Amino acid sequence: MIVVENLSKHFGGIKAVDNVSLSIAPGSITGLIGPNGAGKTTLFNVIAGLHAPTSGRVLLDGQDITGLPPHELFARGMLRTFQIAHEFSTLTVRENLMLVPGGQSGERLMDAWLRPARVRAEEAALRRKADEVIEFLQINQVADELAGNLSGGQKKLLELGRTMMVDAKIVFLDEVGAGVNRTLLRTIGDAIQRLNSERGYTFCMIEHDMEFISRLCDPVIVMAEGAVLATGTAAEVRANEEVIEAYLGCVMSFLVGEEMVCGYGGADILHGCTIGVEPGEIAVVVGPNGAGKSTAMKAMFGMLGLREGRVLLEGEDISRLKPQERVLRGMGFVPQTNNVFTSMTVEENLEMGAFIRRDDIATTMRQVFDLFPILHEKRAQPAGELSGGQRQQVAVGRALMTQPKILMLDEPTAGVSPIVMDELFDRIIEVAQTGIAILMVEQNAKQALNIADRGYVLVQGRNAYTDTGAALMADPEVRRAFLGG
Amino acid sequence: MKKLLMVAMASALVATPAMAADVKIGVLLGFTGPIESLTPDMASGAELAMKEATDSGAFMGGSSVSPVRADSTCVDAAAATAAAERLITSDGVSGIMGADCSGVTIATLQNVAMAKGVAMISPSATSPALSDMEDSGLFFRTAPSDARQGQVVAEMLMEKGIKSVAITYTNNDYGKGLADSIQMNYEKLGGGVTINAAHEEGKGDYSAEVAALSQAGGDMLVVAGYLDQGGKMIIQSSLDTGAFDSFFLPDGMIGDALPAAIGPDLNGSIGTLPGTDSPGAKMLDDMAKAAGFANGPFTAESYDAAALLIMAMQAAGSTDASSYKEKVMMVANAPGEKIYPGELAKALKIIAGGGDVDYVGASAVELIGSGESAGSYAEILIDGGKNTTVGYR
Amino acid sequence: MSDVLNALVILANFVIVPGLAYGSQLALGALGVTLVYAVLRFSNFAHGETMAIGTMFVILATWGLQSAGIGFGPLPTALLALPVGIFAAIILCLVTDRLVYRYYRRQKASGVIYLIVSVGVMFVYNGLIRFVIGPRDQVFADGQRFIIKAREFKNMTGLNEGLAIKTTQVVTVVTAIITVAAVFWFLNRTRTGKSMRAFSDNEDLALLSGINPDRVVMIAWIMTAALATIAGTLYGLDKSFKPFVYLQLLLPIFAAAIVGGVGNPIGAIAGGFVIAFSELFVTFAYKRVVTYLVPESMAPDTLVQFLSTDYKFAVSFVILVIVLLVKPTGIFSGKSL
Repeated sequence: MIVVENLSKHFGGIKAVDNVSLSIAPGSITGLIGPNGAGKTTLFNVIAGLHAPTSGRVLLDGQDITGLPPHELFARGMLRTFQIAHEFSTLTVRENLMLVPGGQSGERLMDAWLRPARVRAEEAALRRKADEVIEFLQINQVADELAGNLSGGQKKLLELGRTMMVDAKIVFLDEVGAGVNRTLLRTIGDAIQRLNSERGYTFCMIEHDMEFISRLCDPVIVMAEGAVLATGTAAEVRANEEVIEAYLGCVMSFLVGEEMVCGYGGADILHGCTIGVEPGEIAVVVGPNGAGKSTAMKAMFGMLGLREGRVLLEGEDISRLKPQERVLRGMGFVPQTNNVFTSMTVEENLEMGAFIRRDDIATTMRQVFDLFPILHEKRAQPAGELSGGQRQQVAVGRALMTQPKILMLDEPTAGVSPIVMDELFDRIIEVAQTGIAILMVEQNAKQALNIADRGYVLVQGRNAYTDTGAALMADPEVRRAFLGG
Repeated sequence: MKKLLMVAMASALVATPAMAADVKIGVLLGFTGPIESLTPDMASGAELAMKEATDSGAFMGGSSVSPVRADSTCVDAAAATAAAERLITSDGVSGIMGADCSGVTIATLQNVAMAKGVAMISPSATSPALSDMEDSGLFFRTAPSDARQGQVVAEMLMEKGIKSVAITYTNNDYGKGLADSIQMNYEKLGGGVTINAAHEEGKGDYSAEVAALSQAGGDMLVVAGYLDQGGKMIIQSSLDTGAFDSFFLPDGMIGDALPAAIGPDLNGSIGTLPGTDSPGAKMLDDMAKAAGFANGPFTAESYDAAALLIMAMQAAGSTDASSYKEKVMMVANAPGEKIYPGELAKALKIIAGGGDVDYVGASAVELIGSGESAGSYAEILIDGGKNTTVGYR
Repeated sequence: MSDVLNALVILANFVIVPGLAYGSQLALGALGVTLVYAVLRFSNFAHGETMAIGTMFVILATWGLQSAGIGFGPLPTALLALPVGIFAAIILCLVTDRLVYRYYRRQKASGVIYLIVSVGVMFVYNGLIRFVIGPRDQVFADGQRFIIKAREFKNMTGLNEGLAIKTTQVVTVVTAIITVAAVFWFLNRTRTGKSMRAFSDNEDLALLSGINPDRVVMIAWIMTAALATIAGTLYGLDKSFKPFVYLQLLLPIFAAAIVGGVGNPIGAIAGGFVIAFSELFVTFAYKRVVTYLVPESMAPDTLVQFLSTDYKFAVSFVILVIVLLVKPTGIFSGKSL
């Protein structure tokens, strides 16, 4: 049905999608998996006409649709949903559904006035159709609810419903399961299966939840670093050594917070967000204010209990461990504020950083002083008397004293001058080069993504975009929404 | 025969006008607080008189007298009032031997005794304020007013050739009254008072008070306080800092506990204590020794106070204060047979027989004015770590 | 010249020497209050009673030693009994923490709740003291009473005025210096001490550094109990042990801690001496000092006293209010150790 031939998409020097060929059989549910930054979303975007490919082509039922704009593809029955649901939050679910098919008579002012009967008839037909969709998806109870009030999972169902309104032939689902609780996920899965078997829809979906993939998808295509790594049934893929190494080993690997749901008091801030990092890699979490970036860090460090999801360190579930215990496991954290002991000297700050260590800390302290020479100069001065940038260095130095395997930084450059910020980033790169995994939240998204091996864009507690730092920088949508052009 | 029996019964009834009963008398003293080292002997003195009356079998047709103790605390008016209230309403006492310190005595008199119509005879409340206080005729004391003590103290100081003193007093009715009386009398005689300052009881440290006293100067420090608390600590602190080395100790400061606590540094200090050289004091000494307690400060006054209550009841033939209060002055003063300690049985019989007694007791009781002791004092010198009596006036 | 010396001796005898001793006692007390505040973040109203109860243990141990015929030569036997008292007080404080404060810590109770709870603890301790040793004052100072007696000093120097220095005053100052030095050495030089400072400075960061909060709290109580017992015993030796006097001491102790900057140990010590000397200087009568210093014709008739000694505790209040108005964080603006 869909055939992709030698498709490549490069952003500057980054090959987000590199010479990918694959085909999606009609009536199949094809899963597309791969580690963060593997190029899955980029591939979707190219197929769906959001990006023009650098090279290669895309065929739909034998016709070349390469580079066709989204609305043309839409007319040919090809739809794409987004990781973040794009609903009209001030309209009801029913109204949202009725708006989907374009070219309605009522949209034209003249017709609305001159041919009211026709408009009414069309509307009645649409209403019937919407009712049928609502029935199919079993969302009757929220049919007249404003879409903005729906839960994350219900919004995903609404997305599916929108595809039904136009009788799509093939639907691309981007992380439909992200931020959805297990029960609703099953409902969504059921709906997908029924649409596939009863209505003959073809699906292609990006998904991280392996259980979900295993249940629904055949075949499963694994991507890594912009290329197709393997294709087969879920079981075959899972058994594939290469896949395990590149993907499963990766997500399961160093540190990952999976599908984290948590918040303060009754309100959840994170709604199923997944963040991971590899040794020697810099991962940067960016996003608008209130997206839950700092909350995600706190959750991963155990300062905030998870309601759902889990945190894995080297494949081991550490969700129940206290922060101190995570320190013992090799995690270091630099809070955004109050990150030094102001009344204590620089040297004592570093000493306290190494509190859990029983061995000689002189070597580590020398390394920290080598990294931040200014600290050596001011080692006998109370940290509270230092400048903002120097304090941040003390804070990072303190966290490094435990010789962590992973260093988490919450907005390390908040409130420091651009020059100091550049210097701090340089130091952070140096730290990463020693093989330490670095996960940081940053307000200065552009600069941070520039040094990031991978970037996470969070919006409203969910993963909005995940890719390499450079790919995110190059992604026009990300740029427009989060990087100020 | 039947008639004879009737007559016998009738005459028996007439002969015992009151049924033999148990009369209760409250002993309201500061068993805790700043004079707690004195009160056990005081209570024993009063109880000795009561036992004597009971044993005589002559008290109101063979009635017994039993004591009920209650704690006046010496300084806490609220606690003393509550204790007196309990004595009267719950224990049903007919009279109160007490209270001890002037402040709580005034409080219990005004708040409880007058309201309930129960008589009080205090052995040791010496505030001049009690002399003129409205008391419905219910209050007497076997202790003299401090107006008199002030006079005695002033005379003693002048005779010793001491021309200027500093005075510190415990901040209550007793202390203030005594200090003012001493100052007035002393200045009248030509002495100089450099300072007359109060101190509070219950502090941990009196060094600041002593510092102020020492700066005012004076040949001697008059401590109108209590021997178990502030008074003792002021003396200790004065000696420690060398502020004063000799002290005048009025009645509240006389007790064996003080020289024992301070040690030889107190030798040479002088004091006053209500007391007489009448034979009664000696008699009580022996009786106390036999009963196993000491005739200490105010023990004689306590014995006498209890005895007066008992005799007045006998004279009135009633335990109702409204009637026996009239008899207190009568039994205490001449004319009549002189009564000494240990002679209560004799006195009760005389009164029962319609005779008159003049109670002398252990402290040469002579009630004047509205019913207080005329006041004779013993001159005390602390010598060899002991209170010794060197004379009377 | 001798007039000036006489004036100085009066001041030394009545203000400076007692002030040093009293100031040391307040400083140790305030150090305990400040320690609890720095680590547990509340004002411990039971501190006065902790001092009293610690002293009570010391007295009981002293009696034991005395009856066993063990003395300390010219020094008070109580110094030998001090470790026993400290140990008992530590046990009591840890048990109290386990039974009472820990519950509220788990509840993450606010400071005000802690404060009220500590008032409750205060009453329980108070009752315990009443039950065990009774409300009366106890004299437990023994050994040689004076280092210099006033009269000896006069004879020695030929001055009119005497200077008395009590053994307990010297013992107080020396013990206080040793104790404070030990506390500062502990806080600044040892790993555990530094971890306490870190915890008090920034609790969250201390947790991130792997510092065990339970251990820090435990050590804070141990130190508080030790400091309270030492302060209480020194006060009891120097003045007198009256269980309920320690309740009155709470005001100058809190004033000292706040004036110095609550949570700051150097502030607590400075505050102790500021309060002690202000109380003494303001309520002292300077009549004879002035008389020595001015020509005879100008000698004052009055006592030259700023405030009556009755207002001694008011001085603490006034200083407290002034400091809170002028520099609310205290002289050494502290929040952490």
